[in-house]
Amino acid sequence: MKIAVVGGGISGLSVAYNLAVRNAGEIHLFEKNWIMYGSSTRSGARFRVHFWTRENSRFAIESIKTLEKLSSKIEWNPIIYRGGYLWLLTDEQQIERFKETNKMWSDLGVPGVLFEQDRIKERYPYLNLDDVLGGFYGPQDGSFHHDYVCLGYYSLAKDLGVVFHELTTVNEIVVENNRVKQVKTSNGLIDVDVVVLTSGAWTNNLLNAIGIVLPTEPLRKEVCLTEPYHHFIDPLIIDMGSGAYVGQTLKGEILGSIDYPTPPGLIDLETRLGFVISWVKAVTRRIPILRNARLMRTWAGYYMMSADSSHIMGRDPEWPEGLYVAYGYSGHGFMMAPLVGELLAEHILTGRIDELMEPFLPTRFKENKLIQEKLVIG
Amino acid sequence: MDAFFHSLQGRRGDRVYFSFRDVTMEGYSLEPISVALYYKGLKALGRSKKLYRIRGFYSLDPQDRIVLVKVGDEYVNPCERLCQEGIKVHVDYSTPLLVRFLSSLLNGYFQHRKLLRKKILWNLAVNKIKQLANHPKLECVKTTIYGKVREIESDIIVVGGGVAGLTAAYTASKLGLKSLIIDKSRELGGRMGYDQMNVPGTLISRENLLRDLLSRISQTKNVSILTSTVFTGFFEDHSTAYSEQDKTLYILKAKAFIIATGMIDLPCIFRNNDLPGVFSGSTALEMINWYGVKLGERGLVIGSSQNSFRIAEQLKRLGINIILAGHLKREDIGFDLSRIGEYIGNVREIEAAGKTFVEKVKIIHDSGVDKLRVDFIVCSAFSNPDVGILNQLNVKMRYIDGVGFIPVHDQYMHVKGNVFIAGGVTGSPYSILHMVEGEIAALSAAQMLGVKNVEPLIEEKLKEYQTYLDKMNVAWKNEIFESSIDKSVKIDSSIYPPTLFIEKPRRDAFICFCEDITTEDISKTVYEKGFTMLELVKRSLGICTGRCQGRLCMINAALYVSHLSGLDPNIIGLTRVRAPTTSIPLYVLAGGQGK
Repeated sequence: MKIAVVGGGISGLSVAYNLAVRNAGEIHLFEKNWIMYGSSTRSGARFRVHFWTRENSRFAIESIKTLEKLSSKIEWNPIIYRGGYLWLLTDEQQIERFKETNKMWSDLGVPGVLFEQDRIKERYPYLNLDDVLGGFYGPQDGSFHHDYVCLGYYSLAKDLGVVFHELTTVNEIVVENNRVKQVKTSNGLIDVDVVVLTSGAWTNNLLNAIGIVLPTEPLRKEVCLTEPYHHFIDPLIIDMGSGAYVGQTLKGEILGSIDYPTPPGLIDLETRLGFVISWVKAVTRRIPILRNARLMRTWAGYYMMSADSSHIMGRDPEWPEGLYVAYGYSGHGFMMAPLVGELLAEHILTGRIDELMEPFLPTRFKENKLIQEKLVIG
Repeated sequence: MDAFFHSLQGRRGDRVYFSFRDVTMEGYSLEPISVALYYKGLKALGRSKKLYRIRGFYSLDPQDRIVLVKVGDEYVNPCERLCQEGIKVHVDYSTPLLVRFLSSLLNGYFQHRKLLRKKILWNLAVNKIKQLANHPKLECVKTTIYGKVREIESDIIVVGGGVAGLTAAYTASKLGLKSLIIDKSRELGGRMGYDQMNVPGTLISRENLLRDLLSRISQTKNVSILTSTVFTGFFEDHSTAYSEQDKTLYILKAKAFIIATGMIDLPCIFRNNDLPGVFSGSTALEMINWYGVKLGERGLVIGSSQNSFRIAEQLKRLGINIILAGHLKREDIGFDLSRIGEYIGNVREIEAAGKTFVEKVKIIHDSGVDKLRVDFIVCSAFSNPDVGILNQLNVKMRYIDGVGFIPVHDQYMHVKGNVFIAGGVTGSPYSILHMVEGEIAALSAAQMLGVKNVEPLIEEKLKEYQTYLDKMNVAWKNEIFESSIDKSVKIDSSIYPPTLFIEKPRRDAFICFCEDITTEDISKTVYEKGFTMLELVKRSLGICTGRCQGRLCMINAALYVSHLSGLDPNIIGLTRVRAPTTSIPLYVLAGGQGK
């Protein structure tokens, strides 16, 4: 079987590796820039298993296990560190919601802890908790090194014989007799049996051209990074009041972002001073000690948002034979992709739809079985 | 000589006393802390982040934030913060035991070691790793201290107040346009301000040229000036500048920008090139000609360019014994060597040594080995245009052999949108070219802004410019102009980095000082991991991600990768710099208007 994977981010790399490890045949990965160019390398590099919906939580739990197992196989250390997530809650409704959902999380084996205000103060003395009523701490959540995860998949896939075509754009998927036949690239035509679209924010161009429309759109997200400082912030702190998040990388830099109005679409990956100031105000109010930190860098990447803020994987039986997608991660690409690659590779080769994967099929939109994930950070 | 140093006293300001590690020190109010300490023989200012190597300062540029010292509760760049009466400066020279114990293992790939990846060991290691890096500790700034945010509007903003920037601002003002010059130094003039030699190929003294330009500018009403202020790049919504001295963030509004940031003397790559006492060429000149600090009794100047020769000559005039060492053969040097003394050619490897600062140096060259005692080393083998801001703007760069990575521009000095360039940043080697470029950039900007009747002036200047280019034999410029139209790049072969003075990758020859990345790390990335694009080298090692955002390491890294991989530097490419190009304290940003 000849397979084209379009897109060299975490999604494409995971799919390509999992296909290769199952001896799927001849696998070609196309990337229009260099591997992990798109949103992968612009990631905030955090993972969590706590989602509002059972489907996403279960998927993430298994996916992170997959990522952890990877650690001993690859030549790169993915630097997994379970520093936890801390949600700071500023109204009773939020507390209720977390309390309620924590039952489901406990059920799934990932219980979090609800903190009273004074307990937060005790554990995280650097926080200003004026308007905080309580907090939710998810100890199973954490961070990883996005570049090393990608490079790890890349080196494994390469060793297994995946052919990487960097600096090669796929311009068109050629469909004949309701089957994918070829991909037209900037370096010529290639005959294929299977095409897997994993090109994140850029996926819709190719899909739309063959008449497939899924409810997704790219949303630019900006990130701020300070100079490195001695490590003191362990968890990722999400301020539910201002919509800001802030954490510290193992290298010592303080990283964070805030929900800031941005028009959807493939707008330039630039950053705005307005965004920076808005994050700085929120974060220096919450962590006054950060006033003395220095903003070193900002960058932007896309969240490929789907209508229900959950990823899309697999295929719709009505699509041309041989066409699969794995995109629309809505900001959760690194958390989900390790398992997406596994389940999708299995699905492509055997047709089996794993029960974890089933809710995420692209058919859910027309069947109106949306997942309704509302817990999106940033 | 003493008279010379004495004449500089006025520039240094008033005498002040401060404490360094609880010892009282004398300094001057207009002198950076690092210079005052160097004058007293205190060259080591701290330890590096990962390997805890002793570090001093390589340059006085506020954008090269290699080493920070603690002043009161704050960590500051000692090259930027001036001496002040009563301040307490503190430096911690200690090294954690574990780092001392592991130091032979610590390299760019330490965290990927197989053993460390075992789950249980990793969980133990990770807690240690995050504590082991030598980073400043954050202390709270009193919430009563606020920075200022000011909005400034001008027709044209000129970044860099050297010969090109000054000429551009003056030309624009004559056309009735308001311009604002932003310069990171305390005084305008750029390199002209502290280079005592004449403009190359002429009898014009730089001092007179600068004085003349400044007096002409002071007579026009249309030019305003911001010194000690760093232009921090273009955000999508605003461009910004920051003054550390005034704790002020400037939000800039302009119809056009002229970037005239000059060149950077790249660090040379040799063994122990991170020792205190290794300086950039322009910093050496700034130290002697501005601050009156004699760098030492004996010095090594690395390089065989015209620039190296000029620096050596100025040091020599102050009675310092100078040895010049470079790649070129003695016969190929076009200068009168008797004016500086000794020259060592065909250098293959340089090794500096010293306990806490440069004390001696071993030079391996084709005809043997020389061991010398020196007090300092000056890196002047190669200067690349300071392309940081243009890189942040995503302007295309083109590598030209012997000149460096050049921002692609047309003959109107236009690079992108409303941005023009002039001077050293265009790669041009001579002040005379810089002046004409300043004029052309200003005229082109004026034309874009709708000023009438500038076309004939532009045509005239372009002719003059072409004449100079021909006369000075700057043929590569036309290649750059062509590549602004023709997007394809002729790919050549790898190059030998002009800054490279080691024979094989060494773990004590550094490329990146912020993140402690060595030539050995890079060779591992290229040979073992197979990455040759600089973006991927960055991803695997973290090069260009430190406090200076690749200002000092990016070009050297690209050239070194080219050398190792046998690929053209244009294929290796550069990595993107992101706004802000120099860091800004959060408490200053918090003073701005958010949503």
